[in-house]
Amino acid sequence: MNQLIFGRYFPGDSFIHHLDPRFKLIFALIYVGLLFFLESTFYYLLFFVLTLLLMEQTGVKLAIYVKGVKPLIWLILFAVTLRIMTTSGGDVYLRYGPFAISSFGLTLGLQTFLRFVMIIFISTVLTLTTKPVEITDALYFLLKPLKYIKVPIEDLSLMLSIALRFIPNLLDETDKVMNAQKARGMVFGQGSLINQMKALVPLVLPLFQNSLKRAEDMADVLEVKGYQSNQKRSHYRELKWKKQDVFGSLFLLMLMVVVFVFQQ
Amino acid sequence: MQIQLNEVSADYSVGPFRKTNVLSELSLSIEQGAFTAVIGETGAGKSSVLKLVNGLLLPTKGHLQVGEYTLEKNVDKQTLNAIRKNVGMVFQFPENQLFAETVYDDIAFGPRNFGFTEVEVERLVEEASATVGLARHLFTRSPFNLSGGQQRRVAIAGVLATEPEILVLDEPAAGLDPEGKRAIFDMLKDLHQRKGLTTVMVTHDMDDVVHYADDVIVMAKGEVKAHLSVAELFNQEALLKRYRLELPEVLRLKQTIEQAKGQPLRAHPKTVDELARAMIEEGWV
Repeated sequence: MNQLIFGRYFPGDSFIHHLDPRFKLIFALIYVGLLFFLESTFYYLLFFVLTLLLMEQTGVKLAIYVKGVKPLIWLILFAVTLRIMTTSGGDVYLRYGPFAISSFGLTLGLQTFLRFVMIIFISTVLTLTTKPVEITDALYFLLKPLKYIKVPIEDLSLMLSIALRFIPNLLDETDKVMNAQKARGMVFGQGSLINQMKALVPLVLPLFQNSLKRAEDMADVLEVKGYQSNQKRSHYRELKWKKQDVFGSLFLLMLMVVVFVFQQ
Repeated sequence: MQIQLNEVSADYSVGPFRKTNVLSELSLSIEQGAFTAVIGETGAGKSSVLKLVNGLLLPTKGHLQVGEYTLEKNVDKQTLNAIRKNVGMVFQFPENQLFAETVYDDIAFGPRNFGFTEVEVERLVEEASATVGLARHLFTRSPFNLSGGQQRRVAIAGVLATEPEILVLDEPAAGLDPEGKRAIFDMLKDLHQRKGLTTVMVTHDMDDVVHYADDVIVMAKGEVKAHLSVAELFNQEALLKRYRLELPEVLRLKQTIEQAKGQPLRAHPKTVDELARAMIEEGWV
């Protein structure tokens, strides 16, 4: 649980921290999109260097990004291996039944690996430098047009921000209940799989119970304070599109030109 | 059982974050059979000391002695289990840990984990419930349907049921009304004396300290600043002021009376009743 870097915010003062969350969100999405249009290894390496530069700019240590990749490393390696084995062409080094290791396969494997790692890195850059509430605000803003087809955007963003808001509380509480049950002689992560699952009951049940209680309280408070989600409201945190966001957008445009014009 | 901490340091590492030491080179000795209160401002490391005693937090440096067991960085599972069996820990708002379908099963959770037989479990559950004043007819009820005060009792019974020799409590009466609070403390004090327990309690309330504790540990910034008897503590005004500790009600009253009277009272009353008696003896009233 504590190993999970992805989705965690690191307070900092880098220029990436100060960018508009809307820009960062769009940037991350388009950047990931662009990765799928890269054709030669040269461009992969170019983007990889670029990604590393962006990571360096956040002021967060590289080791922390690498930790973010760790939980997914087996999935990545699986995909890469599959890619290598099933691609043929170029010089063939080894052949076994329908599988072959060829120079094309190796190149594609390397590209797949780089693409996966870059996707994780760049989304980690986004979540490490942007507070969850900022991401929610940005999402709300970007999804606004959906209001015209009667999607309850306000409710969705309220749900999302409440959910995000309570993740730290839930983690805290998990820790507390876990300690309390350990003190009563519970041992976690021991015995057969069935026993390990059973051991989760004393942990999960109190968490559920407390969350339900809190949800009820919160609903009551919202009601009492006269909260109505469909009202037009002003915002405490206002998103401001600043000069650096304009520069960032130009940079993004440049990247798109590189991928779609120069690469051809 | 005696508790002894020898230059223990500890911290909480959460993923890539490593907070600076929550406790730094703490040395401390709590006598067998003492009722000790731990006081200090928020973040002083009070709860961490309790967790150390139960092996829920392991020292990064130094070691601690709990009875015959030694706890250190690389302690083995058997020792840890033995310590947890001997040290009962009541957390803040312990009712948040209730989970079983019936009150009986919840109280029996601890003893079953520690490997008591069902016959023994039954005796332990009954004894623990009697101690905290839970009626037998509640055994088959769901703990979630009880009142807050009763839930607290079930939770405490669940800890007592393992028959610990050391009891550590983190604000056991937080959030209870004055009456419920007194009931819990009286029960704890009675249990402490009857079973000869070693009791360590974290509290914010100085009135609890005067009423129930024998000695006090004052903590600040992860260090033990003083360990002295209750009577001594309240005679050291400088110490109280330095660590922003409030005087208990009875002592505030006594001070006001002394100021009005212009002379100090010789006795050291612990309750308002004792104060009244002392004043009568002095002929002040």
